[in-house]
Amino acid sequence: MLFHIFISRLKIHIRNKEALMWSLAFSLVLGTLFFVAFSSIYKSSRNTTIPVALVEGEGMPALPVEDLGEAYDFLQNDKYLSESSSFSEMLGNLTYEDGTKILRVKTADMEEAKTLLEKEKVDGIIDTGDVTDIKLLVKKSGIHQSILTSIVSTFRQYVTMITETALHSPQELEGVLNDLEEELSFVEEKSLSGENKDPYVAYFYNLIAMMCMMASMAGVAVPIECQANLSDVGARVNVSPIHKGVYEFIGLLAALIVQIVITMIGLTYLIFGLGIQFGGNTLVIYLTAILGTVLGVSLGFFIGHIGNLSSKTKYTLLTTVTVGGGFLSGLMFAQMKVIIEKNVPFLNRINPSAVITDAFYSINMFGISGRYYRAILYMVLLTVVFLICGLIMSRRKSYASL
Amino acid sequence: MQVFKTFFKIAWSYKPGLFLYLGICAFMTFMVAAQFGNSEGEVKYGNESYHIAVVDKDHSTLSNAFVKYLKKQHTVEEKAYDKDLVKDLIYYTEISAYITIPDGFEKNHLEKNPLKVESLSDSGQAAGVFINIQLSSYLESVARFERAGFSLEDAVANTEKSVDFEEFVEIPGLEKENSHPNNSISISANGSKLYSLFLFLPYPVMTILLSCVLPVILVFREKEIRNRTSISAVSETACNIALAAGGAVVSLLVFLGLTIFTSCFLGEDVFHGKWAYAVLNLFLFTVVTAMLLILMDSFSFLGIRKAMDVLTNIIALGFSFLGGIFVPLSVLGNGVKTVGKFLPTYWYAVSLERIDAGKGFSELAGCFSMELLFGVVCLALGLAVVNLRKS
Repeated sequence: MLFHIFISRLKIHIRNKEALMWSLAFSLVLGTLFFVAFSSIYKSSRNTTIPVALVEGEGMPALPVEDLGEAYDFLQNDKYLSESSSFSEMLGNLTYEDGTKILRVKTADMEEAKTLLEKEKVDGIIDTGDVTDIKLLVKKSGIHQSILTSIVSTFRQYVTMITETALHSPQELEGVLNDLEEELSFVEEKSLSGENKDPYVAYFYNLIAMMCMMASMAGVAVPIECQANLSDVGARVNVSPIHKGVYEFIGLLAALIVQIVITMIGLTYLIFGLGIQFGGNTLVIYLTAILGTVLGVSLGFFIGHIGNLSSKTKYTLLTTVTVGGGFLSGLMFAQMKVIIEKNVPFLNRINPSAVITDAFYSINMFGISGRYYRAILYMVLLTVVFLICGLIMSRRKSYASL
Repeated sequence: MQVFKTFFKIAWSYKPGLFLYLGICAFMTFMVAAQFGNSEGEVKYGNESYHIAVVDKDHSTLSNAFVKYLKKQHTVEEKAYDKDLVKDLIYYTEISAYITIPDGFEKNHLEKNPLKVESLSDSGQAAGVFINIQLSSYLESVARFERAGFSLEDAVANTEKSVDFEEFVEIPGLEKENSHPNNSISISANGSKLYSLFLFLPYPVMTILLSCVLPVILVFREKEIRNRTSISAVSETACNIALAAGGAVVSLLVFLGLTIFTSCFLGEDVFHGKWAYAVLNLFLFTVVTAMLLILMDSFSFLGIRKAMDVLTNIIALGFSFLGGIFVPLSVLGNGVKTVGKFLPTYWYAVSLERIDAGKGFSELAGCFSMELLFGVVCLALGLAVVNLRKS
């Protein structure tokens, strides 16, 4: 008997082709759109080599040469600043942490350099014509221009140091020049750990969370079809000898199986079809998505039992919770989740979408650690609370007439 | 008139959707307005300004000077966060770096046994590299000046003089362009307030019209209701005109509501030329979205009424992400922009950029035309599908 009901409920879900098609379409279409929109952004913002033009020349120093004395000689004969080939070589040897070269230097005269800048073949022009006043010419503001500014600024600091010392404490000049040879380090650079640091992957976490939350539409149908005042099937169930709680449980199980299959298809498309790097163990990602789907179905089960609301109101309430929850977990703006975490962290613990998103984020950035277990704990807790509340609300309902 | 009145009765039953999306819009408006209200850092030409968090455990002359320098370069938040939250903040690009100045920093510095400043960032990103170069450069310079015999105050003063990029960065008579941090996923605060507040309005326009107007029209397309209407005294044309009028009134109300609400945050920028163009841009977008509803209505036979939530999300989110509404156009790749050119949201965002740059109507007309063209295509396709079905 129970198996028969289970098969019947399963058939009901499978034959609801429109619901199945749209649920699948949501993950496949939106996943593809997200992929098109975000796949190249992070790569393009990674450490890239900056093209720069280096203009050499014999410009006049801005400061009086006689005052600079030995310092001017040093600057003119310095292996970095006077021999443009060495200076160019040194600029070209600057590298990021991952070994990528920071600059690609092209030596040119000012006219050629300006043409290159105008055509955006280079991001800036370093003008070493006057060694006491190195200039940077840029066309627009941006991260590449900012990095160039910092590099030129460092060289200007050396120059300022030498000229200031020459002008105010010439007796220290030799020590300063020797000191410049020594490498100093005052910053301990720590890099963000984690497998995939692309922040745009967060939109895919939210997409999976939304897929899981959409499973709640199947979950809400279960109690609606057990309530005599909301559906004909509910009226029939109420006059049948089967225990309503058992019927609901079986219905929930059938809905869950169908929804899990939909989530798995969507997730497989994202991981293997589009090649989205979620970070972490793929099996754990699948298991987390299954748990998320259970949470979604249980949310629907809970809302389906709230009061004597009409089925339309219940569906509307569910839409509000899923879309509103999606917004707060970052479906529209990925940053929203962390803004909420900063200001109202409690909201991220009770918002099912945020909890699911956090689980995927934790796998990627923290691995299977305390943070991931915390997310799983909240998912399980919310599921249990929704199911228990739903079951409590489903009890002792009787109808004067059917 | 009967159909017109019924339209509103049914539309009112979809009020939760209306309030949900209006709530999202209000939340986003407050966020954007707050970004402008709290902005400490000024984006200086030639240098990129980032949001960073600094924890000064030393509170000494040196650390204060260092923090002051950082405040001049970036938007600095002086707040300590727990380890996990710091990672979250950097990952989601809410901050680009988390800098900790250790206790005893100045004391050790003066004793020639310097403690290192800790900088946590995504070093694979240019922003992280840039900030770390800045930090190293400043601290190294102060130390070298001190070694050269300068006092701490003079060392700091000389360093600040040498790092003042306005002294050495030149712009060879070329036009200034707006740019955005490459890895930012935040709501853009790099344009003007008008630009940022109007940029995301297509999202609420699309979601509200798709979730509150389209379902009402689709109710009238249901077989039973359609049959009843066809044998009633109301002709099919009159019914369609009433539905179109109902849709137009709701669209107009949504447009007016969003315009008034957003304008409340603009202060004295309201009623200026740029504002008028931005409002015109939004109006055109609302008209185009209304035309899109006609196209979707023509596909009512596919049973799309049951999938309105899914469709609303797919269309509104898809159009917004591909059109540069949620992620600035400057960040999107060329491929995405090519796809975006077929969407009204792209032309809306481009128009808004041009409006923000102070362009006149002649330079906006092209974008407005492209927006309208999308609407006209939708309208034509919608009518063609209806005619095809009838035949």
